[in-house]
Amino acid sequence: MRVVSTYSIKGGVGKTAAAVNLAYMAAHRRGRTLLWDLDPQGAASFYYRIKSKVKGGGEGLLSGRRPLESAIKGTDFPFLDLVPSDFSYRHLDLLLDRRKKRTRSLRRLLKPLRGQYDTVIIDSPPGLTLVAENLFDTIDTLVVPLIPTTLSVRTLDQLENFLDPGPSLLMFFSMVDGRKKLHHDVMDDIRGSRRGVLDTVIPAATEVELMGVNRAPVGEFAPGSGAAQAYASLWSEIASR
Amino acid sequence: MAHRQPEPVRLESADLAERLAELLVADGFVPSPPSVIDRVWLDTFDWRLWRAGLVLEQDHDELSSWLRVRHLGAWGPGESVAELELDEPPLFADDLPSGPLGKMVEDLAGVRTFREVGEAEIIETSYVRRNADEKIVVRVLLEQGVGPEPVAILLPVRGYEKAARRAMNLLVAVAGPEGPAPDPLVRIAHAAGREPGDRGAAFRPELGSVDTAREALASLLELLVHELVVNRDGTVEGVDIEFLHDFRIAVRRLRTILESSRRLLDRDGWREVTRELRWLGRMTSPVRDLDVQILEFDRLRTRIPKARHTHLDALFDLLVERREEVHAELGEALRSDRFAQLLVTVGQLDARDEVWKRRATGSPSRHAQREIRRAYHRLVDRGRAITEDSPDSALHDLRKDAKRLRYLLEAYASLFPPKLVKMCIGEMKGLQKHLGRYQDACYQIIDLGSRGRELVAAGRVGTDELLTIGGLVEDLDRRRHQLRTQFPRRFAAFDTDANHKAYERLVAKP
Repeated sequence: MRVVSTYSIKGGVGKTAAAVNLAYMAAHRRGRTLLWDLDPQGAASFYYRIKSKVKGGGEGLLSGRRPLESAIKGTDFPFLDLVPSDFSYRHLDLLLDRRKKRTRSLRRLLKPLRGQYDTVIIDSPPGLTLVAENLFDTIDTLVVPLIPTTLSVRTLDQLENFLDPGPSLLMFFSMVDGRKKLHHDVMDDIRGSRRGVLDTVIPAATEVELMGVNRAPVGEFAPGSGAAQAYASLWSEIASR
Repeated sequence: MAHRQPEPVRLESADLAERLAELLVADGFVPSPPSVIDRVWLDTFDWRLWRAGLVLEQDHDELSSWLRVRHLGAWGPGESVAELELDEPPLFADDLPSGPLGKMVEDLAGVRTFREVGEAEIIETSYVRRNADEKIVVRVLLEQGVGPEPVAILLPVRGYEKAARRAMNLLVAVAGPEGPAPDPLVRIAHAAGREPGDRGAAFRPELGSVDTAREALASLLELLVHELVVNRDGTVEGVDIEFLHDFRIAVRRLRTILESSRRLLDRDGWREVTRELRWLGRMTSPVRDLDVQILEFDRLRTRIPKARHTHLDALFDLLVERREEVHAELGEALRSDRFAQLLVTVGQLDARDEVWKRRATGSPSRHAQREIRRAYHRLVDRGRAITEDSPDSALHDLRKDAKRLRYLLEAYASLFPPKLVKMCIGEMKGLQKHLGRYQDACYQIIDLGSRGRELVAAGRVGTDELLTIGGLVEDLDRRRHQLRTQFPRRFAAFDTDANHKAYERLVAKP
C-alpha cells in the first residue's frame, strides 16, 4: 500500500483538485484506491458528493474508539473509496498534540488498511502544522503543486528545509497559464535547479473550476479535456516513481 | 475493499428479471444501457487458483480487455484483488508483466499453463439509486449469459447500508426462496456439465465401502487409468510439463499397486499388464528427465560464475533439442494402438474372472497391511545394509523402495486411521527428499558428461564451454558426495523406534 499526499504550505494552489483527480485516475486504472479527505474544508468529499461527517469526529478516530475503516464510504466509481472530512478536523492539531507519539498517530490509523488498498491518497490541509508532521511520518510520497510564481519558490525552500530528509518529494506545476511569460520563466528556473519536478503541467483550465458544479472529477465529465489528460499523465508519472 | 460482498440472487426466468427491472425503476432506480462483455475464465488444469479461493478471468468489451484476479464469491465491479490491461489471455503466469497480479498468480500456478475453463457473452444492466446529493447509494446488476438463469446482484456501496437493505428486500420479494446464486465460475462450469476443482486433487482413493481386495484393486486401477486418460492429451501437447509429471506418477502408482498384487492375479494376466506398464514408464522417463534438467537450468547456472553463464547456452539448446526428439517419440507411443490396448487391458481386469485368484476375495485391509509390511521391511533392511562402500545404485534402489511404500500408503490410506497414515507418510517425506536430491545429482553428473561429449563431437562448443561444463560436473560431484555423507544421518531419522512402532500399529492384525 503506497501512501501519497498532496500537500502545500500555501492554500489555493490546486492541491485538492489534484488529490481528487489523481485518486480518480488511480482507480480508473483499477488500482484499489482510498482518498482520505483530511482538510476540514471538505472540498474533496464535496466533489465526490459525500457528506463531510465522520461519526465521533477526529477525536473518535485518534482515540481508537472508531477505526478509520468505519468512516470509509464508497464513491460512485469502482475501486475508489473515500474517508470524508469532518469539521472537527479544524482542531486536529490540538487533538494530535494531546496524544503520545504525537507525530505517529496518522500512521497508526492507516495500518489496519494495509492489504485492502493499493494506494491511499491524502488531501491534507495547508500549513506546516502538527498534522503536516504526522503526514510526513506516514506517507511514502509527498506531491506538491506549485503555481509558477516567485512566492512558490520561497515556500518550496521552507518545505525542503523542514522535511530533510522526510518522504520522497515530487513537485508539479499547477494552474499554469501558458500565455504568461513569468510562468514559463519560473518553471524553467525551478526545473533547472531542483530534482523531483514532474514533467506534467496542470493548466489553469475551466474544466477544473467546473468540478464544483459537476461535483465530479474532471475525467468523469470531461474525459477528453486537456485537464483530464494532464491529470492522467500526472498519475502515470507519480505511479512510476 | 474486500468488505463489500455482493449479494447475488438467482432469478428463475427472464420473466422474473423483467419483473424485477420494473420494480427497481418504480422504486427510483435508474438503469444504464446494457453492456456486452465477453468473459473467459482461466485456471490451471488442476484448478490451482480455484483451490486457493481465487478466480482468474479476462473481460473483453468494445474498448478494452482486462485480466482480473478476484476472490471466489466477490465478482462485483471494483471487487477484484488486482487487474491489468492485457489483450490476450496468458498461457503461463510467466507471461504476465511483473506486478501484484503476476506475482499472486505465479505463486499459485507455477509452471502450469492456463486453460479456458469457460466462456460467456454476458449482458449486464446496471440499476443505480442515488440520494439527495445525486450520490449513488446502491447498485443492482442484472446479469444474463452466465448459465441458463439470469442473476440479480446487489452491490452495496460502503457506508450506505440502509439503501442496500431496502434493495435486498425488493430482490428477495421477486426472486422468492431460490436463494443465493453461486459464483459465475461455478455457474459456467455447471452449464458445461463440470464441477470446479474436479481435477487435480491429491490422490485420496476412498476404499471404505469395498469388501474384498479385488474390489479395492479394481477401484484403484479405475482411478489411475482415468488419470492416464485425462493427462494424455496434455502430455502429448507437451507445453505444460506437469501433465507428463501427473501421467508418470499415475503409471508408477499403477505399477506399484499391480506389482504388490501379484498374489491376487493369475501369473500370465499379471505379467502382461506389468510388462506393458514398464514399457510405458520407460517411454516417459527421458522426457521427464529432460524437463527437469531444463526447468532447473537457471538454478544450475547459478552454480558457476556469472561471467561464464553464456558458456552453457549450447548445452541448454542441446537439451531443448533432445527433449523435442524424445517428446515426439513419447507422443507417438501415446497415440499408438499399444497404449490404447494397455488402457483396455487394465480397465478390463476387474471383469475377467479368470485372472483373479480365490484369495482376491479376502479382506482389502489384510491385503494392504501385508503389502505395506513387506514394503516397509524391505526399505528398512535395504537402508540398513547401505554402507560407505555401497554403490550409487543401492541408494537408487532404496529410493524406489521408498516410493513404492509411499504409493501403497496413499492408495490404501482410507482403510486405516488417518492420523496413523499421516504419521507414517510424514516420516517418509524427509528420506524421499534426500534420496531424490542424491539421484538428481548422480543423474546430472552422468548426463552432463555425455552431453558435453556430444557437443564436442558435433563441434558445437569450444574449450571454454567444455571447461565450464566440466566445472559444473565437479561441483555437482561435490554435492553428490555431501549428500552421500549425510545419508546415514538422514536414514537414522527415519529408522527410529517411534517410526517402527507406528508401522507396527498400522499393519497389526485387528
